[in-house]
Amino acid sequence: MSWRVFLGSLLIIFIGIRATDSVGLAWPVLTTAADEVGKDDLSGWDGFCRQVVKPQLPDERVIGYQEPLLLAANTDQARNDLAYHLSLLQYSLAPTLVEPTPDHRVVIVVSPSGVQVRIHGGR
Amino acid sequence: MLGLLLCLVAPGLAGWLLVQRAWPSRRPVWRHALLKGTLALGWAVGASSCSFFAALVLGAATRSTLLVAETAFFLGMAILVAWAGRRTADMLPDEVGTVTRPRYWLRGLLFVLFLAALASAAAKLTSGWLRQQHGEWDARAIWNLRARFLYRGQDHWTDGFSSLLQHTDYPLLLPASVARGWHYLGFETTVLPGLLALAFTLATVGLLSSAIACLRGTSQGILAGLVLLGTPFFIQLGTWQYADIPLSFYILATLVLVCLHDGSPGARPALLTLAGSMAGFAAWTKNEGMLFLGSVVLARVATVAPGSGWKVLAREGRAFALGLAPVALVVLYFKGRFAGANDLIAGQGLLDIIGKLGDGARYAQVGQALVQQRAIEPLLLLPLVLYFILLGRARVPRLRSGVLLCLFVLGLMLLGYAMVYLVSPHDLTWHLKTSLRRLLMQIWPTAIFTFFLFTATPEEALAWKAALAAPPRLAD
Repeated sequence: MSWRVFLGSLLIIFIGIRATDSVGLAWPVLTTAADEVGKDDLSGWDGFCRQVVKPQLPDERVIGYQEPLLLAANTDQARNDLAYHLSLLQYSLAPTLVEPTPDHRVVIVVSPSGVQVRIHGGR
Repeated sequence: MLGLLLCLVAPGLAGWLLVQRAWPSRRPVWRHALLKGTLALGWAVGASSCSFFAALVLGAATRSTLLVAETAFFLGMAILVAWAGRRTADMLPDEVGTVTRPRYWLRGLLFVLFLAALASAAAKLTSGWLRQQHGEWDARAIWNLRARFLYRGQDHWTDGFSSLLQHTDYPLLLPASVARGWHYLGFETTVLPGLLALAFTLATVGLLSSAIACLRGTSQGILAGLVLLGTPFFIQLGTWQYADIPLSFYILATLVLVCLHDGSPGARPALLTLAGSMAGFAAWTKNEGMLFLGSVVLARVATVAPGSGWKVLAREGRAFALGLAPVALVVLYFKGRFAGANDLIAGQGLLDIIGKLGDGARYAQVGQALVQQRAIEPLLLLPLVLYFILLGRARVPRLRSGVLLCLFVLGLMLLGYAMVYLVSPHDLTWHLKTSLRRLLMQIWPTAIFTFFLFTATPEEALAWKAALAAPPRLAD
């Protein structure tokens, strides 16, 4: 095998690798880091739950969760949406456990109009 | 920042000395330093996550207690290892399997390409973290969520294994490492899981490159790293903060250490002991790590017993078990005491499983998914095939057992993955769609490692050509 063939094979490898990755790896080099800051929408939700919802919660380890979807979660899409919202809420409110039933003293209600915390009865 | 340094220094030093003890070098060479550095990092993260879990169980997971107890433990271990290492006289050669003359122009060219790909991957990882600081779905729903329970939960940290949560049987290497870091820092930050993901992704590239460089030559090592860096989904998984990348690291580390053991002149059981620890950390990272542990043991028995005999196998097994045992105890304790039911097994009877195994349509569906999902890009596989055709097979007998072991392990892992899908209680289409590509990435660095171990190096190919062109010498 000549060195030309060898170099050719190297080129094939390199082109192949780059071709698989025309967007994935090349563009971020050109993207300034500053442009990406603030695009993480979950950080906003996480901060909201910590600063607004969490202070309203009494010291209970399990709270209920309710949203309109919960009542009509009989389609795949509704179930997926519910799982997604519940997962985000659970992530942000940990270590408080969130259960998708409204049968608790403290219930978080998520609706299109916003997030509310309902507390039934006193301690 | 000081907290982060304290969190790393003691286990990092112990890890470095352990690796140094297992494999002393004649002189400092970049590939040795990189190989040892990445192995030490992996060991340090794994061991410190185990010690943090022990502290949680003992109710001693506070910043001050951790600082004192862990520093004493790891520095004590470092001193012990350093003292024991003084008696080690025999060193390994700089390159285990390469005998050809280096081509510096070629190395230079490849190194420039490697640096470009590395910079590109680092930028991708950083921008990915900035875009998704909490990681993708599984990172939020499993790994970072569990870390929050371990850190925020205080006395109720076991609430993180409540039946209200999903996948509570998943092991804790990643969540425990993140929560441990937060304890040392004294506050929560998304920087830490992001840094951990970045470190494991780049460490896997470093480990692969340096291991191949040590075993087969520098040019081959750089090429191997280039192929991994050029696998977009591998880098993507790193930005998602999933545990598949750390798992791929520990799988590769185990097999690299076994290959170094096999390729070294003389017995070096310490390499196998370290391999045992790495296999244990794989099982402590994800459930698929248990599949790997079983696979590597079975593959070793199949490749060593017929040729070298049961006595050699037993001696190797003892060294491996010595490293594995402490981690295995942690994993078993976690599984027995805290872990919830596994979603793939729970609720399934033997008849259900047998019925699924007899269903031909499921086999076809798994096979189709492999092709349709393009788990490994054909444009990446094709150049590798061409490369092998052009350069040919390696002729290093000392590495033959290592190659055979890796192929066995890869085959058993693929078989294990296929079995999981075949008997999965979930909707198979959904299950394949959401996990197949990730599972293949767990073994992809090992597949690249095996390929470049098995294929001739550029220097070897050029040397053969020169030998063929040289005029025949007269016999004396």
